[in-house]
Amino acid sequence: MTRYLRQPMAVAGLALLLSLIWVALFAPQISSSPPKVGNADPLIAPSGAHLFGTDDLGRDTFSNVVYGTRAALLVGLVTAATSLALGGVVGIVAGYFGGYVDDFLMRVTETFQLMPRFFLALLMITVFGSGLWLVSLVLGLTFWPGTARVLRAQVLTIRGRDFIEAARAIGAGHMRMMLRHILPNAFAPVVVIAATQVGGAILTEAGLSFLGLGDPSLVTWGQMLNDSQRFFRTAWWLFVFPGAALMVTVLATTMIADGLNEALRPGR
Amino acid sequence: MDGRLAAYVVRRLLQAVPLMFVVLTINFTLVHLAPGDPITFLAGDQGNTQYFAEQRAKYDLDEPIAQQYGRYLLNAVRGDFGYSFSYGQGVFSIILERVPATLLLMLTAQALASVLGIFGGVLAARHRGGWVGTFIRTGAALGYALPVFWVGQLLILFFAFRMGLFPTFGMESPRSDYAGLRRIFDIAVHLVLPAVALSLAEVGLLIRITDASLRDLEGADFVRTARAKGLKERTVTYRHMLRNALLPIITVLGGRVGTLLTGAVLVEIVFAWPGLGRLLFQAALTRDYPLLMAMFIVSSASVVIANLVTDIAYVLLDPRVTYG
Repeated sequence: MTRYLRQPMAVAGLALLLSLIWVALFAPQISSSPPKVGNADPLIAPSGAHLFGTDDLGRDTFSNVVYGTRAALLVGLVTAATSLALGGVVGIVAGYFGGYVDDFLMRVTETFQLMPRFFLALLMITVFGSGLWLVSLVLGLTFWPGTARVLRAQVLTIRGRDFIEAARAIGAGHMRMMLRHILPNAFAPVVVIAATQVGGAILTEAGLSFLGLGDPSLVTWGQMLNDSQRFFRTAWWLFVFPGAALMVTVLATTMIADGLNEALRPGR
Repeated sequence: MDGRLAAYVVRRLLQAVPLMFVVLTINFTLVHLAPGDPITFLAGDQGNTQYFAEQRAKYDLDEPIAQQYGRYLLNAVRGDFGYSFSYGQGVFSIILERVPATLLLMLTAQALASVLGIFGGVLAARHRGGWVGTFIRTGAALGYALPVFWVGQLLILFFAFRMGLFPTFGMESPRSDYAGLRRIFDIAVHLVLPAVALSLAEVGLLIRITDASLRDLEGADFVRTARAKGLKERTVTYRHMLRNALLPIITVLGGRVGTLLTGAVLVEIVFAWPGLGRLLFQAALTRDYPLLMAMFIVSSASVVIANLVTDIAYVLLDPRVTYG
């Protein structure tokens, strides 16, 4: 913990993420109008009244960017959580039992790791509709192999240690061994990969929204970037601000992952 | 190619079979699991009763599901991935037509990223602790966080609209009939902005990987030996350390093909580049499912091939790695 806090970049990343969470929670208080509601003149350049200007339907860009934080964080967190759950089970079971179980699970993992997530998600969305939850779950289904491999590798290093042998000697069952003794000691590197997956998921969802496949009931930054295409020459503010928000969010997750990674490096 | 390498390649290709099988199964399952009549997924929702009757017969839709599945797999093995109803053509030939443009964009971006990324990573590693290193490392984290399509939009705004240095869209000037060198130059000028947009994230990643791999080698015995021999720091870095750092770098590059293809698709839409991106965009708009499913298959296959190439490169570059 102190090793994490000693790094200025890591602390900045954490502060950024906390601010983004704060923005997402208090979006109604921060924004000047509800999302997707046009009550101003169309295409006003950024000014005191409309910090980030307005779009062709008179919707306040600042308010939409603020509300977009919700969709972005939701996608990132749900994806990472799904990936953590699936990859966690596969990784710990493969590492703990070893042998044929390990071989089989790792084959499955490799297969899923090769699957191009963007194209799979795109297909699923066009078939089942573009709900944000569906997108997050599909992305989670493609991100878990990374988690599984990291956790498995970590479990393998722990499996042979004395305290595991001791736990087995006093008669701990498989479930207890995995959950109480191995998982807590193998979990740290998994947090690093989860942080990078949050950023990756946000970027992937933005790409899908940019193709016009975003959740129609929400504001997403990718959608805003897609909408802005038509006013490319006339209204720069329509794409500069949502893109910058996207960049800042992903940057925050990268900085946090780097910080965690550095803090967990042995012998420093 | 010697026999052992050939056998290795064949064995690795066989390992790709489960993935392609899973991908095809996902496609097949989606068609039958999706709400609505499967025929609308395979043949669109435009047409009269006779058309749909013909199509139902063509896809065996009135037969038992196992038979349909068998037929689907068999067709795929034969290279028949379905028929695009919006283009009125087999999907495979439509996709093949667009591959060269996308490949040109991807390869250019990758080449650019490799040069800049590895060089930048070495520079960052050599100036660790100093402001140059911090600057490069911060830039790399930033580049890695940039959405490619947004970078494309910004590049167009500054370098095409404001400064007028580059064309804003397409692969060639419209209504031009340039030939030979003039044409190559025309394409090159159109290629600059999309390739830069696509490469930035890869540059960022490569700097990070190169920097990290060099750092891991810092305490190695052979590095100490090289320094003890009195070699110049430059020689130690480039001739001794970078050679060893190249393997993890190549692994990362090979694993990025899916991401690069995704990026290319998005960048192409921004720049109206005539590759797979626009095709995918149209297919998503018109819900051309056979085309979308084929894109999923083709992208999976390209990832498999990229992995294979990476593994072969590994074997060729590092004498310690054997044909396992």
